[in-house]
Order: sequence, then C-alpha cells, then structure tokens
Amino acid sequence: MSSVTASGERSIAVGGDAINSLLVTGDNNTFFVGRYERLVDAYLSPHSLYRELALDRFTGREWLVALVDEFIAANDNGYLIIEAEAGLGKSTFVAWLARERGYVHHFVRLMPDPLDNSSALKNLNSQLIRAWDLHTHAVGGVLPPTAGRPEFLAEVLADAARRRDALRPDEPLVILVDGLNEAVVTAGRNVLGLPSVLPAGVYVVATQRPVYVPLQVDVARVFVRIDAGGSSNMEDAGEYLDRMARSPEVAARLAAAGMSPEAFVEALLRKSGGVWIYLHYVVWEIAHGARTPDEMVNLPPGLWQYYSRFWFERRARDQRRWAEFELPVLTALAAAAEPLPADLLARLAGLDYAGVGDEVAALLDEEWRPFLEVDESGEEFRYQLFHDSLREFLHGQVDTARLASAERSFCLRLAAATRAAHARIADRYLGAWGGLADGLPGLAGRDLRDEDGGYGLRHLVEHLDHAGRADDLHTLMALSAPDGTSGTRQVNLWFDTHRRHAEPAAYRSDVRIAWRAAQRAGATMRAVRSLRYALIWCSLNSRSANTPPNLWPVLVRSGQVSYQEALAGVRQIPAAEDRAEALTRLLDSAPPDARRRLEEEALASVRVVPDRYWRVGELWRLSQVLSEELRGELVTLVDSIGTADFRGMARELLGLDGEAPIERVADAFAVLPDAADSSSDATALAEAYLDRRGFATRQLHRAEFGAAPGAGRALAVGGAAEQYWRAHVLADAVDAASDGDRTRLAVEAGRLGEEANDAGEQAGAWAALGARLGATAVPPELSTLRHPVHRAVLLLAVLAQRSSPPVPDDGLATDARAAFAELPDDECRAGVLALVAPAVGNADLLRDLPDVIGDPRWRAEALVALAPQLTDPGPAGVAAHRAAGQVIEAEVQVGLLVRAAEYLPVPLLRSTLADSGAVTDEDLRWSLRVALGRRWCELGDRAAATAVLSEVGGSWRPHLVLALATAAARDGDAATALRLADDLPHPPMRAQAQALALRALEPRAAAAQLASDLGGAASTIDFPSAVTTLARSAAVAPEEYREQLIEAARVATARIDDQFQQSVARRTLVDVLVGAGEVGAAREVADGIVTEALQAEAYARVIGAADAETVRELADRAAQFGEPAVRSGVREAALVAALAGLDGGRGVIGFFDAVLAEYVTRPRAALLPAMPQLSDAASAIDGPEAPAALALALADIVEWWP
Amino acid sequence: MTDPHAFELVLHHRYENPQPHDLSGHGSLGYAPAARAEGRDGRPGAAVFDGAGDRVFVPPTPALTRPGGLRVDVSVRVEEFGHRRTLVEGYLSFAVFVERDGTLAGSLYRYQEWTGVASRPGLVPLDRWITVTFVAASDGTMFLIMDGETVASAYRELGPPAGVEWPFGLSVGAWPDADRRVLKGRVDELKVWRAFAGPRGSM
Repeated sequence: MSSVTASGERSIAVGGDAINSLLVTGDNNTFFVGRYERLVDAYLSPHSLYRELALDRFTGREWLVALVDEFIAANDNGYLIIEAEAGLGKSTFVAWLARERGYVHHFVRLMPDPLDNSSALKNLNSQLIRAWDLHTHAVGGVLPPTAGRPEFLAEVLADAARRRDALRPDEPLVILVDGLNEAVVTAGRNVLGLPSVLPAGVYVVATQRPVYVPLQVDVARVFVRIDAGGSSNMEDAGEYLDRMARSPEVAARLAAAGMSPEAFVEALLRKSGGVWIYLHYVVWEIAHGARTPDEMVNLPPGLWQYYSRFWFERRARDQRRWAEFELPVLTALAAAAEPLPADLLARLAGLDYAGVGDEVAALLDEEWRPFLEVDESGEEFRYQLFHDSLREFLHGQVDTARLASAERSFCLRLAAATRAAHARIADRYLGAWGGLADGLPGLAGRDLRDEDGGYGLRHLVEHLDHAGRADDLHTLMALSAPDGTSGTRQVNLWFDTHRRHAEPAAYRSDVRIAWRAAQRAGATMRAVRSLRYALIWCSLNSRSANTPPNLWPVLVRSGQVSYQEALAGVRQIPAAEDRAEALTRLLDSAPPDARRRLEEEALASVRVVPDRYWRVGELWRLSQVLSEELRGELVTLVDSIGTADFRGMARELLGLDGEAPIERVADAFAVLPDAADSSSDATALAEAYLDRRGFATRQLHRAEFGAAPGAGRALAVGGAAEQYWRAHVLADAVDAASDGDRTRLAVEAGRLGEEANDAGEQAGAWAALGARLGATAVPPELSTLRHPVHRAVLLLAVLAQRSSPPVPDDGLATDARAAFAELPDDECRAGVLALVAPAVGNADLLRDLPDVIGDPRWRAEALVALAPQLTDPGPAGVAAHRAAGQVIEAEVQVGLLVRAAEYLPVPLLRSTLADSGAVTDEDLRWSLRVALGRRWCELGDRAAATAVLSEVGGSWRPHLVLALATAAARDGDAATALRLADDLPHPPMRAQAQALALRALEPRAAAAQLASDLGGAASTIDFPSAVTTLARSAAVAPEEYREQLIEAARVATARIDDQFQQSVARRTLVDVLVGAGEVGAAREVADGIVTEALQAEAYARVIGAADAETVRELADRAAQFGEPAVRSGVREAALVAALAGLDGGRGVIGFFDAVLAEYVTRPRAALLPAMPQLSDAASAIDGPEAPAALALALADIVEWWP
Repeated sequence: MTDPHAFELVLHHRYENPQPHDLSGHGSLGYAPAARAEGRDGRPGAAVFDGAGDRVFVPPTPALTRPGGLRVDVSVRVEEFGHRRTLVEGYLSFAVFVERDGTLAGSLYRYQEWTGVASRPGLVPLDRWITVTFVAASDGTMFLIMDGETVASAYRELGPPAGVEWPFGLSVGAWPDADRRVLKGRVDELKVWRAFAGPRGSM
C-alpha cells in the first residue's frame, strides 16, 4: 500500500507532492452511476494547463492572495468566490495558487465530459485521499463508484479534516475550484455537488464569471470581484506587461520598432482594458513577429473585438485559403469534443487530400499556437482550443452589442460556420452508417472502434445537439431495429450499438445529452421528452439491477457476453453488496492481464458495501480468491469497518492479530458462547450472510422454483424480485446441468436478467395514461400493444372516459371488450378491472364487464373492486354476493362476503347473518359478522347491529363496538357512545369514540369528560401510545377541544426519550396539526423529526396544505435527504402542489425536473407508479397532446426493454 | 374496505401433511419439515420443529408481499427456550417469537427499525398448546393475544406494515434467512390475515 506522510509548513504540501506524481486519463461517467477508477486515473492533472498558462510568468495578484489569506484567517470555514469576466486570469490565478501552495484543485475545463460532474468529485476525492492518506476510502488505490457522488466528498472531507486536526491542527485545508459557471448544474444540487457544510478549517476558493451559479451553503460565503478596469487589476496587468517588455523576444521587437517599453505597456494596457487573455495573445504575437509593435495601434479595445479582428484579418489575408482551409479547421477545432490529432481534425473539417494532416499541423503549431492547448503526452500531438472564451466566440456566445456591425456580422457568420461544422461532423457519421432517414442500416455488425478511434460513437449525439438538430437527435435516440437474437421484437438501435461495443456508460451519456436537449428552453414537447429519457434511464437501471451476481460469470463462460461486457454491466449494479459480490465472482472469468485490475476494483467495491456484517461478508468472500500481493490491502478494508466487534471478527477471520487465518467461517464462530442469540449476535450474523444466497436457493428449490414463471406451485405473480431469483436459481443450476441443458439454462437466465420485469407497474402506468387520454381515438400503435394485459388496461381506461351513453362506436368499445375477453384467465380479468376502476374515477361504462368472467370467485372480486367507483354500487354488491355464494372454498367465500357486505341491502344482510352460523372457523365467522354489523350501523339500524354484537367475540368484537359508538355519537346519543367506549380495550379506539361523543354533550359535561379522558390516556399507557391516542381523539373532536388535545399530545411527544419513537410520534402530530389547519406548527414539529423517511413524509403532508414559500422551502430541503426515494416523496408533493396552483409562481417545470432527477438511480418500477402526477404535469407543460405522446413513448420503451 | 381492522385471510395452513395446502385460496403454500406428531386437542397432525434446522418455508406470493394491516394466528407448543425462538416471521416485514425467558413478542419492520410489543417474562408455558395472535393494523394498533387474553399492546402510527420480501418469504419456526432461532416444538395451525386488497391478476 502506498503511503504519503504529511509534514512541512505548507498547507497540505505533501498532498501537492503526491498529486504531482499522478497521471491523467479520461473518463466518461454519470453523476450517480459511476465506475471504479484508480486514484491516478481519477486525478485530472493540470500540468499541461500550467504549461499553457505560462505560470513562470505569473505576475501580481498579491492583493488577491491577501484577500484569500484574510478570508481564511477570519472564518472557521467557508466559500470564497472570485468573480470576473472571461479572460481576466481566474484560471491562471487558481493554477498558480495550486502549484505554489499545493492546495487540492479542480479545473472544470479539464473535465473530460462537462456533463459529468462525477469526474470533478472523483478528482477532488482522489487528491484528498492521497494527500491525507485516507486509503480506507480507496482500497487498493481504487476509487469506488460512489466517489462520484456528493456524499462521498463530504465524507472524505470530514475524514481529511479529522486527520489534519490530528497532524497539523493549525493548517487550513483549502480546495480550489476554477470555473464554477462552466459546470453543468444538476437540478436541486449545488454546482458540482459541492457541500453546503464544510468541516471546521476547510475552505473552498472558487472562481466563476459574474453569472448565477447555484451554491447554497450553510457556512460563510464571500464574493470578491476582479474588475478589468479596476486599479488593482490594471496594476497587475501593467506589471506583467512591463516584465514581458523586458523579455529578450519582446525587447528585441520593441527596439527594432523604436518603441519604448513604457509606450508598449501603456498602449497594450489601454487596448486590452485589463483583460489578461488579450495580453497573452498579443504578447505572443509580438514576441513571435506575427504582429509588429507599430501595428498595435490598430488593435481593437476588448477581447471579443480582438477575436473578431484577428480572425477577420486572417480571412482578409487570403480569402480563398480562409474559406477552403482555415475556416473549416478553425470551426472543427471549435466543435471538437475532445483533443484531436491534426489528421482527424482535417477529416472532421471535410478536408481530404494528401498531406492535409501535415498542413493542418503546421498551421496549428506555427500560426495559431497561442490559441491552442497541445497535449504532447501520446504518440501524436492532440489539439484543442486553449481558452473557453474563444470557443464561446466561435459559437456566437458573445455580447454582440459591444461589436461594430461588421464585427457582429462576421461573428454571426463564424457561429453559423461552427454550427455547420457540428452538423458536418454529425453527417459524416450518419452518412457512413447509411443515413438517419433510412434508420442507419450501416450500424449493423460494424465495429465503430475502428472509425476515427470510436469518435463518432462517443460524440455524434453531442454534435447533433450543438448543431441545433434536436429533431435528428431525438430521432436517433428513438431508432428501432429488429433484434438480431430473437427476431421477434425491436431493440433500440443506438443502445444496441453501444451494448455491442461494451460502452453502456457512453450510451448513458448520450441519454443525458438528449434529456438536456429536451429540457432546453423552447424545446417542443419538453416534458414528454424529458419523461421519455427518464424512462430510458430507469430501464437501464432495471437491467443493471436485475442480473444477479452469480449470473455474470455464467454469461461469460457460456459466451453470451464478453468479459468486458460483463464488467461494464457489473459496474452498473446499483446495490453495493451485489456489485461487490459480482466483481468477486467475475474474477475467475477475467483474462490474465485484467485480473489484477479487477481485484483492485473488487477491493474498492467492498469498501462501499454497507458497514457491519455486509462488509465483513463481502470482505471474507473476496479474501478467498484475492492474489497474495494484494492481501495487504485487506487491512485497509478491515480498518474501514465502523463497528468494533465486526472489525474484531474480520481481524480474526483474516489472522491479522498474529494467528493463522481461519480456514472456514464456521471455525470463527465455534468459540462463541451463544452464537444463536447473545450480545455477540451481530458477529454470528456474518456466517449467515456468507451463505444467505445459497440458503435462499435451497429454500426456493424446495419450493420447486423453476425456470418458467408459474413453474413453482406457489408462484403465480412475482415481478422483478421473483425474476431476479429465478435467474439466480437458474445460474446456480448451470454448472450441475448436463451439457445439453447448460447452454439453455444460461440463455434463459440471461434473458431474465435483461428484462425490467415490471409488468405490474407497467399496467398501472397504462391505466393512468389511458385515463388521461380522454375520449379521443387511441393511436393505432397503442391499440396493438403486444402485451395483452397492457392493451386491455389502456383501452378500457380510455373507454371509461367516454360519456354515458357512449358516443357513436368508433370501434374502441369493441376493441376494448375484445381485449378484455382475450385476457389469459378470469383472475387476470378481475385484476385488470381492479386496476382500471380506481384510475378512471367513473367506471359505469365498465359495469357489465364482470359478466364476462365465468369463475364466480373472480367475478365477485371484480364486482367488489368496481363497486366503489360506480354511481350506484348496490347492484354490483348484490351481484358480488350472488357470485360469492357460488364459490366452493368456504374461506374465500367469507372474504368476498365481507367485502360485499358494505353494499348489501337489509334482506341480504339478514340472510347472510343467518347463514354465517355455518362458518366453522370462529375467526372467519366473527369477521363476517363484524362486516354485517358495520353495514347495519351505516344504514342507521343500531338495534340490528347491537344484536349482531352479541354474536361476535374475541379480538374482532372491538371493531363493531367502535362502529356502534360512532353511530350513537352521530345520532346524538352520547350516553350510549360513552358506555360503548368504556367497552373498548384499546385506548386509541376508546379515545376516538369518546371524542365523537363530545359532540353530543353539553359544553360543561364535555369539558369534564375531556378532562377525564385526557387523564386516562396519560396515565395508563406509554408516551408514544399516548400520542397516538390523543391524536386519534384530536382528529375527530369538536374544534373547541382540539387545541387542548393537541397540546397534550405535544407534551407527551416531548417526553419520549427514544429518537426514533419520538420521530414516529412527531409524524403523527404533524397529521393532526395539518388537519387542524395549523400548518406552521406542523412544519415546526416536522423539523424536529430525525428519521429521514418520517421527516420526508411529514414534509410531504405539510406541503399539501402550505403556502407558496413553504412549498418551495421544503422542496429545496428535500436535497438534504440521503435516499432518492425519500427525496422524491417530498418533491412529488411539491409537484402536486404546483399543479394545484400552490407553487407561488415557481412553476410546474422546476418541480417536474426535480422529481425526474430523483429517479436517476432507481429502477423503472419505481418511476412508473409516479406516472399519474408526471402525466398531469406533462399536460400542464406541453398541452393536451402530452398523454398520447407519453403513451407512445412508453410503448417504445417497454418494447426495447421489456 | 377502509376499516383498518378488516382483514382477509391470505394464508391458512394445517400441518397434517408435509406440504400444506393453503386453505385460504391464495396459493400461499408451505414447504414443511417431514416430521409429524399429534396436534392440538388430538388433531391428526402437527409440524415438528427440532430446534436446529426445521422450518416451514412459504415463498412470497402476491397476497403476502403486498403491504397493509396484518394479523397472525398461530397454534403452537413450545418445548424449549434456551434462546429466542421464532414462531413465524415475514422477511423484512414482521416477526412473532418467544424469548429465552418465556416472553412472547411481536414486532414490525418499518423505517429500517423493528418496533414491537412484548409480554411479561415467563408468560409462555413449555409443553402446552397455546394460540398466539399478533395484530398490527394500519392505524397503529399493535397487540398480542395468548389464548384469548391480551398480553401486550402498543400504539404507534408506523403506517401500513410492509409486505413480506424476497427471497426468504414467510418462515414458520425459524429465522427466515438462516437456520437460527429455530423453534423446538410443534405448530399445528397458522393463519395470516392482511388488509383487504383487490385482485392483481397475472400482470
């Protein structure tokens, strides 16, 4: 293990030394779903930038350095933001500071993919880990995928600060970030995922242009502005020019021109207006003789004018060469998405003749050198533009108001040419692959890595985006092609191409670009397209999550995927323990030259497995197969285990305390006094962990869990979890299978792993979309959905929107009924009706469909599901009662009668009560009688219900007592209500009945009763139960008594010691307060909840009743929750509030985007249930066509990723 | 059905045979140990648990995996304490068990915490048939009954109890995910009830 010892006076000077030894490579990750990287690979070295910035000529800025030092001295921690326009030397200052002081640093311009914030976080993390020797965060020198997440940086920063406190407590820990405004912002997060809170003694010094950059912090934040014309900056610039004027190259030119250094400085200072990049260019020109000092008089004032003039003069010098050679090269440079060699630049510029590469290289090396950054590290030089301001100029991103009309015109033409360059590059690949209009037939079977080093595969989407060809971009992303394997369905062509090239991360990057293009201002069908890409993204998540760890080596061995493809897939597995296990299991399939790297990845993956026995288990699993030379890294892993007893167990397992390693896990537990259940229980759990998959497999085998759904007798419906385990069991069976079966099993397991397995959630989404399509004609693509359930759900949901009697039949009713009849069985038909009925609200047009269902059980199920949605549920209840009577299984019959009871008329109640005596099971009999009694209560016949009560016993009786008490209170019969309340064994029930009775009492009697009730509640049960009891009472009590009850609940809540239990009580209290209209108080109570999920629920409840400001504030606070599922609950509540007009002007779009962003780490099965509110939001944003467009998108996506 | 205390019987086992049918009609089949012995009141058969490796495994079914109010009735004869003994547990959902000191307990898994109720120590007798009922309604009412008498109760609004999870499903007489906390004794009947929900069909 490498180690860096901290010493010396400079702030993390050792870190600087360590950092300087690192190498630089690229990466292409997502923000959230990252891959493993070595520390050296994650570090974005600025060395070439240092060279280009000519730091040895750095001059001035003492005043700025003093400001930085003063900020650090004056604050415990915080952000210092240096603001300045383009070209004022922000990057140079940061680079100089980083080099001089060895501060941790990040330059946004060096990020290989500007959309990929994870590379920034990994870059910072890699430096902090190396500088402060925090190697438990990067076991084996490899960063885990989570290193690209903001939470990881916060954790590393905290550990770095602790280590600093231990080693050099007086030193500030400073992080430099250059170019905040260049980073792409993720909705709801700080720019680059920078933390809102910093440990003591930790500072971020960042630069940005004077534009809005989202950075919400809870620490000190100070802005410093560099004004180009300000005296400090001008003095610095003058000092720099004075130094340059005395350099040998410039001094000679000035002497030859007879110009004094002072005149040179004065003239150039005036022309540049203090813009440093301007000085950089002109000084280079003078020094290299490209411009004479005399010609400086012709220089324009300002950077944009300089660029305009420079390139205008290039054109004027030789218009033909400009048009045919220089302009194409310049715009190709502007468009290029990565540093490129000269010959590829020539090809992308559309230049194709012998020697053109050399000609381009000569132009770049000799005439345009000051505008370029050259990477000389590889076999060939690679070029890119040096300063962002030039790229922006060439893309027309300038304030043209500052330009003369001729300059403006020229600038616009350059921008058009750059856009054309993007289009030309895109067309180069689209053409080579057979044309977009024809569906890119040339992609089939082609190895794109051989074409321009795979540049087209990596950057086509980006060029389409910059070319402004959003339609082509979305068309590309939506191309279908026949599946070459099955031939029975369509695949997404662009995804399939990336899959073949083992580039899943690159495909994700393209989805992200397309998603952002969809969100751009003015984009058509903005919300629909955003949701389309969110669905694609989540479909990819589902694929990653659904392939169990033991299947990957099977897929490799059976030749279904290559090792590289498997590795790419494993890296996308969202659950850390599954990912770690999969990497370990893949080791046996790794080629010899890749094994060491995979072992390092596996080590890193174990580090992020949840602490305690999960991590110990994966550590042990890996230790069995780890190479000897990496075993030392296991020590680091053990140190990362937070709990002492687990750490001790791991040390014992690995023999780290001097004894020989234990060979078998069971041996480790043999000495435990009571492995089954004792204080060392946590330790013993690890043994079970190691065998838990095998244990599950054995249990499932006992249940005859087989290959085909339904093959196990008990397993009719399962969804993703069932399919996951089915794949797991199949994969386990492969090795033991005969040769003939082995391949078949592997293929079947692979297929299961590739599917999203969310048919149930899809059905729900189809119901929601169908209910929103209105009574319009269903697009033909939808009426022929492949999945019969989805087709029936959609058509029925649309049909139910129609008015009654139906509009003239356009075939929909016929189609819908036919689809319903074609469903595979009666259970499925009942299920479809149960799904559709609540979604459509008014199900009257569906009321005769249960007649199609032959099996009385499922007909009764369908009827009781439909009944509450019908205008008159009575007939459905009677029909359900009749159908239930035909059910043979007595226990099923009772369950159906219980549900039908709430719709039955009196005669059927009587006959059912009479028949109930034949039910032999006491619990079933009582449960049925309670349902009948409750129905009598609803009908106002308390006498009949009381008679039923005498025939009910056990724990079922209180429910009927409560119903009777409620009915008595409703009738104004307080005495009976209170008498019945006394018979209730559970305080919340009793309190509810008593509170209802208060309504029927005289005020004085009510007050006395309340005092008595309160005393009872407080004295007989624990505080958490008292809160529940008081809350139940407050929810129904007359308004004049409510406050007293709420106050009592508050007092009880405050007396709960256990934090979780108090959070539960607070959550209860929030409901009551919101119900009482005390939203502000509810908010305060919610703020005190410590369990995130409970707090999020409480916030969502508050949002539903809050004012605009609170809605916004709580929606923003969702960012503090660690779990996306928890965050999305709050954000969706805010979206619903926005749709209801409660957003206070922020608009639906912001909340919509924020909600979608919360699904980027989750499977599609999580996103689909949100379709109702997301579809409503899409309609609000895109108009009434949105549901149909969404339905078409969903149809595509479930075809591509079933 | 909006009544939080209205339950649907979704599993009903009598352990006369090694693979008990689900009398509730919900397909929650059990895979039980082979050994049988006399059941309660001379009934023909009860599943015997050896305290080491026996269990009844019930794979997850739609009726079990859906969230919602829960009621469990189990007829059991405990023959040894020694450590915690599981009566019935739904993986990542609920547990009903007997502690080493004869305490009867039931708990729910919500918000990544177990919250439960427990009787006084010494309540559960050895070598005598008892009926245990554990109820956790979605309104926060949670109580334990032994032989018709309420022996513990608590009231916490934890929301609807979670559904039973894959892959370990429902386990009778043992911890779901390992041969631990295994019951030594007999079980002759088990009923699991959940809040009513409509049919899902074969989606």
